[in-house]
Amino acid sequence: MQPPPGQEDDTALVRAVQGGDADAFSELVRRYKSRVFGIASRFARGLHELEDLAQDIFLRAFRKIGAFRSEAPFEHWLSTVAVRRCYDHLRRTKHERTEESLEAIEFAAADDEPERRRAAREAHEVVHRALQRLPADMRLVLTLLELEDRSVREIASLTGWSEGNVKTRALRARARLKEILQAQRHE
Amino acid sequence: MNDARPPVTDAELDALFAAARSVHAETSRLEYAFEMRLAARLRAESSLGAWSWRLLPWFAAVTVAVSALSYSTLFADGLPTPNNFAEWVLVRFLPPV
Repeated sequence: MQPPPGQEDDTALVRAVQGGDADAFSELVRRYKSRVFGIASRFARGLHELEDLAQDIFLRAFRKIGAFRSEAPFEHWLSTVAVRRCYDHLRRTKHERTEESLEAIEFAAADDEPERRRAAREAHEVVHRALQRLPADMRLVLTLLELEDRSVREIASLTGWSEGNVKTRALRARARLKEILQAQRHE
Repeated sequence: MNDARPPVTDAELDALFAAARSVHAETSRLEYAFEMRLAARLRAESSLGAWSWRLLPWFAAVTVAVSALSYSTLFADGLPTPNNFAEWVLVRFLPPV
């Protein structure tokens, strides 16, 4: 079977990084920074936090790259590093209050029609506010499942939880989120 | 007081998620020159790590020198020189009778 486009090159780059070539790592960063920023932006509370989180993810990947065995695509391995770092971040910042001065991340809807774009941004705002009130594991599982559109199997692989565990957490998280949204209607 | 408003349904929740899914962070500004900032941080961290290892023997040498100096000056005032560690602890840390 032909490897997906880019994968062969990734493997060669990873081998070069493992051999001490820092420029090869820069190339991997250039290829996957959008992907990593995309994941991290679901969990960061502001632009500075997003930059720090993205840097931490790549630093962690750089330190662990010696253990990468090319059994899965590099992108999947990097996503695992990113998701686990974001989960650590969620747990660590659970009780921290958001500073008002944080420069907000800008979000844009992909739709061409202005009315649908506005509705999508409003929905995103409502969901984002409600997700912030969930415990870290519930927020992670719902974000990956519903916003990143990943399968239960994929989430299990990314988080290291069993598929049954992912399903249970997702069910509980949905129930809790409905309660939060219900309460928000009253506010 | 009874709440007349209906609870949030699965369909409503799914519709919210579907709409929110099409919204993505605009990160192009942060992505600009990100590799360079990351490389600078990597260099800073690795040089700090290398320096801390290089300085380790010097810190160890200074610690030994300070300990030896403190040991030799401790008994300069005529106190008996201890024969073993237990005696040294007694002389060093117990208040004089």
